[in-house]
Amino acid sequence: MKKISLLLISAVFLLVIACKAETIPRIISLAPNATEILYSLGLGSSIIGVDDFSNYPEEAKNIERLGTFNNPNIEKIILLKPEYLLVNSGLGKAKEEYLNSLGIKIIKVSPKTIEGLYVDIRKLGIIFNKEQNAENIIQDMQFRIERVSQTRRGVTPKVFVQLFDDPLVTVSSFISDIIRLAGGENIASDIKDEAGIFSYEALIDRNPDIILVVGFSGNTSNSNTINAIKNKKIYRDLDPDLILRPGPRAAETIEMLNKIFYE
Amino acid sequence: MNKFKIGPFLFILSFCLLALIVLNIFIGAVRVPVNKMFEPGFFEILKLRLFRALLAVAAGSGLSVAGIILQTVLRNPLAEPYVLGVSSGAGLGAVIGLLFISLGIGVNIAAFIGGVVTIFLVYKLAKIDGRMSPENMIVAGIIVNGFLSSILMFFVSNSSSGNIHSVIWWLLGNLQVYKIAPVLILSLTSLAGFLISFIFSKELNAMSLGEEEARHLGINTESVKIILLLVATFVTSLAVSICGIIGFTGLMMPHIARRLVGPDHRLLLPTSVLMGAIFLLLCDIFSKVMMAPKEIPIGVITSFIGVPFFIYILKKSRKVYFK
Repeated sequence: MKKISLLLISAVFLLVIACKAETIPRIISLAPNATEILYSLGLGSSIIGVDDFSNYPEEAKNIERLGTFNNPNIEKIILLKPEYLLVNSGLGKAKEEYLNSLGIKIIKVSPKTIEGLYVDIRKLGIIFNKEQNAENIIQDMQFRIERVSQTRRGVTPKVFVQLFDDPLVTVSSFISDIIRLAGGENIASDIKDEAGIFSYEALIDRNPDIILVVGFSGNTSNSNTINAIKNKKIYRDLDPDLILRPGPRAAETIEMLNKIFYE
Repeated sequence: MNKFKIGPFLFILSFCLLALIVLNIFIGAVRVPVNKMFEPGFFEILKLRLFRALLAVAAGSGLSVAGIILQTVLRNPLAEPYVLGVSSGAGLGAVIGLLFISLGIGVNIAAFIGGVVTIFLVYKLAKIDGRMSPENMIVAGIIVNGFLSSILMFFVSNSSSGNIHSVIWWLLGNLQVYKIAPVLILSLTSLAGFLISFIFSKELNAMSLGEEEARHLGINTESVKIILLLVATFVTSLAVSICGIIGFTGLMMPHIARRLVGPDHRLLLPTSVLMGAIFLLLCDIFSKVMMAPKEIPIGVITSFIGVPFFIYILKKSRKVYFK
């Protein structure tokens, strides 16, 4: 009797292990935001390779690096035999077709709005059997963003995001939605590209109340006709990864920007 | 070098070529253990490296053929697809093709049209009072090149950021392909280009003596000229549309070969074809090894080596290269 129950227990145990082994997918993430989403879904241990810029969470730094997101090392990818490859902007048609022919499924994760981010998180949740986690993350983000929207007061500040000072480079796309949800307005939201050179005249004309200096440059213009400069509302040392990356930390970014906008 | 050393010389070159192809297959970001060569993952990697090595051979030899044709037909030691702007023209055509027609044969056709229009423009610009000096040709090349690159930058700066990256990488030259088809197409084209120019090697020899001399020898220079220029443009454009812009290969190889085997095109053509292939294989090893696992675009390496050589030829060309 004892033997049989022991056998039964070990059989069940083996079955559980077998099931688990079967459901662990092999994923390569060539997009820092996708890496963050995978970790927040609890799929960190499934990631077998990342791009050079995937630096969050800390554990992601220990995963094998495969090069930049648009020019990864194909030989290493082949050798890692992933089932899924998560990309941001895409690898170009020839590479993607080739990787598809090896049986690797390519998933694009490049949301342009917070709603798009929810769609992508939900999509990854469904693909990797983490639907509940995905819903939890989305609900948590929605809750925090809703809470932010209730703490707004006063006029909506006009915000300019400065990526580089000479030439003046700004970003739109996802960050515009983040600024909107934090209670501000990106004065460069009509730049449809992710990054673009912005006219200095337009900066003076649109007169931002707040300038967020993100990324590489420290200098800002010194025209005193710009509200943000007159009132010394220039914020430096902002983590570009936190601000620009369309990932699960977006709610945190919105809370932080909300404080800046209405402090 | 007299004729009888030529046989062994070409044999040694061919041997080097084969050895370098094998070496290229075994050098790369991932170390492939010899005993595990035939495991699926490693085998796939070796397959990709073979494609890449063969493409280097096809592109190197094709660009050398184009270089010889341009130098001899235009009677200009500085002529080369890259210097004359044919590469940029084909590149612009290909970028327009990439951005607006998407992939497929459309890109190659657009590249060819770009190349033909460019060589026509440069030719027209350089011909002053029916004469065409080497210097004029280079100036015309610079003018057309500058114009084309401004249009190219216009497209690059206005395309979405994802596209920008792939276009820029592509412009810097890239030998990695993922299918055998482009390798075969370029190999056949380069081979055809070689054979056609080899058939015309007598005419090429005559032309290198001078147009008038050629006419005295009973050679219809105009039609042969046009055929050969089209061949050079076609080979270059196809190479550019597959591997991006790889500069200076077509300039250097014919000159080195001319030094080694003399001006007779029957020897010059096979020698520089072999040397072009060897040169690109060597450059590709550098590209893979120097900053491994990152790769340096092959066009960067060929230009880095090519520019000092170009200056040398520029100084030298004041002395007689062509009578």
